[in-house]
Amino acid sequence: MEDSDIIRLYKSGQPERAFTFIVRKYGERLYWHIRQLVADHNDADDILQETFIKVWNALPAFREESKLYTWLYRIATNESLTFLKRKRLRATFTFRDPDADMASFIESDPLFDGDQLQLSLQKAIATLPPKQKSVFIMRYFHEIKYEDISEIMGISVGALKASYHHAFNKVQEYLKKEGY
Amino acid sequence: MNQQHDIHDDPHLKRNPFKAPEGYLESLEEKILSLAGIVQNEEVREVVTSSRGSRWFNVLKPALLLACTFGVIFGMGYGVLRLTGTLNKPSDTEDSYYAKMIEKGLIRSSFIYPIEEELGYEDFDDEEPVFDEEEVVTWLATQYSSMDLAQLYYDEK
Repeated sequence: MEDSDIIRLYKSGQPERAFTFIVRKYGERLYWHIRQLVADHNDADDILQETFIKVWNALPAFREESKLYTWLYRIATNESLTFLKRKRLRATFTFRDPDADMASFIESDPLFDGDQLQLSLQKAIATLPPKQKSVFIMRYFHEIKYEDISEIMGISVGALKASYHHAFNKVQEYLKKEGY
Repeated sequence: MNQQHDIHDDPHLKRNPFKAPEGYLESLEEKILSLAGIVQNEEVREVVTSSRGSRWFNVLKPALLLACTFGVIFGMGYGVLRLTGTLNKPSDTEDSYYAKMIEKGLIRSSFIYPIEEELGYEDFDDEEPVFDEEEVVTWLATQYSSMDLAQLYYDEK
């Protein structure tokens, strides 16, 4: 079902059905987007639920000024970034290194199914600042267009390209140090 | 070191290395839809909407707790003062001693009463004093000389 059909369904007074189609179409995609940002499945699950509650509450206010999918990604990304910021803040107060924490978590996560190179890539991504990380994930893994990432993040395309370039160089540098 | 790995277009690297727990993705839709029963009926929409109110409550909760704490502390302080009798207690204990004496009628509450009684005034404040003009003139004549009276008259003018 197309996004426009979902919106039409919502406007025709069938919000439950429209929401069901949104969850069916975007539930898994948003889960993977969040999961790659926060790494931990349980955190991703919590954030995904919170995201959909917000989507449900905000649906009446959806004005179609943006695409439905960029709007959904925007909510999911904002929720994830808020979570990551809080986590970083908590780590600061407990004198821990949040990047190192995330890297060691991925390393020991039984739900991580990658090889050494993929592990190194994930560790490299873990060192990126939250916003840069989300830009990198959306562009590198999901291959979302810059124009759409711009809508999701609320950042200009030029700034996004620069951000991705920085992130890419950092990741490559990290992998080089790791011997790849 | 050999040539650096090109991560640009490596399909292997672009593959998602994470796994979801078994059955999680299959039950995802059902789980989200049943989450607080969001899409089951309109009543739930109200429940979700009302949770916004509870969010406001969560924001105000610390302030309310602080106010309650102050209230409890104030209440306890007031209670202690009431129990120990410190509150509204006259500062001079002799006062309460005299108050009791007055209450029992052993002494009068004011020193004015005996004077009033002595003078024979019943309503001391209410009664207008009545002066006899002749008496005043006689009294003045006995007290002052005619020169003094003239001087007083002059001063008054």
